[in-house]
Amino acid sequence: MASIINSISFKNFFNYYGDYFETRYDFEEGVNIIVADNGAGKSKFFNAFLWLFYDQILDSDDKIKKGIKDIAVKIISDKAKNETPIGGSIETGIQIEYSNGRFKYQITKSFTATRISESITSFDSWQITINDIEVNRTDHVLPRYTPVYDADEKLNIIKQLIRPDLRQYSFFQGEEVDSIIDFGKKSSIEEAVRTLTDISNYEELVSLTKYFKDKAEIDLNKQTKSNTDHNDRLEKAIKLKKDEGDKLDIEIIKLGEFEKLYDAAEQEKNELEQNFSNAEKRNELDNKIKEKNRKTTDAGNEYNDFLESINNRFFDGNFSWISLGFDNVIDDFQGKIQKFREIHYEKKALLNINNDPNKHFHFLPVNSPDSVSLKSMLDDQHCYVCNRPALEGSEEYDFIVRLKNRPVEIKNETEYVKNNLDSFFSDLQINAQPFYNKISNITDSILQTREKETALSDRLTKLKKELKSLKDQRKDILISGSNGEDSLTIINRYKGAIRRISESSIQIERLKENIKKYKNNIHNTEKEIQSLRPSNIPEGYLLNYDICSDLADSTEKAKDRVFDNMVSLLEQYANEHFQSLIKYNDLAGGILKFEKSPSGSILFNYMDSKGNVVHGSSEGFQRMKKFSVVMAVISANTAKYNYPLLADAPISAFGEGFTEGFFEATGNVFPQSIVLVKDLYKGNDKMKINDLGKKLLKDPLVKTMYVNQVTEGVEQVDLITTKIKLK
Amino acid sequence: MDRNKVLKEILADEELCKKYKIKEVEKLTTNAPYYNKLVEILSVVINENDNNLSDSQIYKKIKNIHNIG
Repeated sequence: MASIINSISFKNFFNYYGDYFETRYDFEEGVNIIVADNGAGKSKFFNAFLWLFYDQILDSDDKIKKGIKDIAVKIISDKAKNETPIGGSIETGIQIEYSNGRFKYQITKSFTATRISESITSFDSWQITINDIEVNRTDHVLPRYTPVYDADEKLNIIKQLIRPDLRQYSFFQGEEVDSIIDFGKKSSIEEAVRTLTDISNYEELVSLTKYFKDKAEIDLNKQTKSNTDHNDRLEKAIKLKKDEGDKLDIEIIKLGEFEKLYDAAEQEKNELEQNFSNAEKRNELDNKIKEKNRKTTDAGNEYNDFLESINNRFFDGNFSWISLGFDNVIDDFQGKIQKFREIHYEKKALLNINNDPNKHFHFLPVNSPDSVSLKSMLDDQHCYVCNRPALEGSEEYDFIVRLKNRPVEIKNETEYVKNNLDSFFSDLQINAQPFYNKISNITDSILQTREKETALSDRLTKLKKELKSLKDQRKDILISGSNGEDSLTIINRYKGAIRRISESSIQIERLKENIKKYKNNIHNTEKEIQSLRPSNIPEGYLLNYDICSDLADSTEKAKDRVFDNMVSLLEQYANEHFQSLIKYNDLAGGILKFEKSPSGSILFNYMDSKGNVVHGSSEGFQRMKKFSVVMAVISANTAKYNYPLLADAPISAFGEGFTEGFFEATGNVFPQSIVLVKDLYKGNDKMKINDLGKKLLKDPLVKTMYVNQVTEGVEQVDLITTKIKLK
Repeated sequence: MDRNKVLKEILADEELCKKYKIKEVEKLTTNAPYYNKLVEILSVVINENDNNLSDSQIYKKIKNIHNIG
């Protein structure tokens, strides 16, 4: 019959303040859940079972398991300590009730602490006396406890709750699952098989029958010698068989050595697997980061260049932003310049002039000679206009000189139309032409520019985010697995391990061939020996050797068969459980594969649908794989598994999909499970549980659910854990 | 240890059963009487090993079965 824990209660045990009846948790067959946030007594609860089974408590300060007496003062509720006067005593303990078939047991472990000085937390302030274990028993017919006095019987009753060799599969804290099934170690699966099967008996029998075979051969050979005259051929054959046997032994020793090498390399490979995968990932990420850095820098430069170019767009004729809003100015300008020109020409034409025009213009008489003629007249000292002499120094000559130099004198004329800006306005008009042609497009141009600026900025932000994400990923990998080694060392070590695996595999194959050859030689020589043995040997010796020899072979085969069958069974169950554990997850379900390595050890791999080994999964996923194997160990147990699962936060690393799968799977494997979990806690909810918690609450597999709470905002000495029973 | 289970597992070797003319393995137990010498010897090995006899003590018993002690 299965052991079912009916209740657990505490007395002044950590924050579980009060007497046993005040802190009692009742449980049933099936799934029992205790939801508690950090600090709400999850680990303390688990500690009660550590005390029960091992007389130890896990010190949360240094994570070391300590003997009860060494940690007693820390165990006592601070509130209870505070309320105990100097000279007074206080009892601290745990009480567990469980049923097993006909009987129900109540086990109480406790100690009494007497306060001897002021400080409540000092170990020197308390005198500790460990009380005797109290075990009471009742049957279900007469539900009245009677004490068990025999110390051995008391211990047996505790052992019965969860068998010590199965406790590692049935009683653990979250991260302990990882060490229960350590796939890096050859021994993990083998230990499971050893626990589940009577393989050690077969091993003993293999060794025994081999011993009997050797003894029977020695006895037979003695008889052969004493019953026959000198027979060279027989002696030679016996010697040959012995020599071949010696060679076989050497090869077997060598094989053992290479198998050890193989296993060591395989273990190193497995241990490095995560790191190697991380190292490769790191390299891959480094390359990605480098590329992303380059792209981000380019995008940053492009963005900055673009921002700088925006100023130019005000003055660049292709954009003409400066002329935004000048639409009416053009017409205005056109009108004004037209008017300007009209007035300008009007003035030039001396229309409507009020002053003396001679002040502004110098008019020559009609048919006045040009400057060349004037020069010729001066040279000839003769006026051809009047046709009379104009000798140098004469008045006529001087007149012609003045006439020739007339332009110089014009400088002294008063300009009537001042500031002739026509060309200036024309230039302005010409230069402004490309601008005002674009005015109608400026709004669109600005919008497009804005869009481009947003696009560039978005791209830069996106790249920066991607870069940060890559850097974060790389940082995570560093934390989780590098162990201070650089990527290259890890990769080299990993590759070294792979090479050694390959080399030792080749040697193992070669040695196996040799062993086969020697065995064959021995077999043939044995046949020859049999034919040469004298006929007067007592039949008993012959039969003894024959039977012992055959039994040695058959026992060896039986041992291998039992082992292989159990491995297949474990593989089958592990896969079934794995599928149910991940069924609420998005993972594409692969196959868990147990394979025999060349050295005979069991390798555990996770293969995808195409038969490729999958590496580098998340921690939650890794734990699910391991938990599948743990549950497979339970399921493969030849007898029905009769022990409860007691687990503290086994799913803390998982997502909700895993959590849901976990409870369903454990419900189907363990007759009872008591699981302490924080993942379902939701402080601001009325029921203090999240949606998944509420879903599980309705699940018929879940028989009881408690939520632990601690008093908030109080001093440590007033801190107590209370519970709400939801189901 | 389930002695009968171990006996049957080792005798699951068909060649062995054929050679020693062992039939109806499913019905065999490690308890006497024995109708086959190999079954008798194997049963003695299984039982006496389970009874924590030493290897040489068990071998003596085997030899006695063959009357070669």
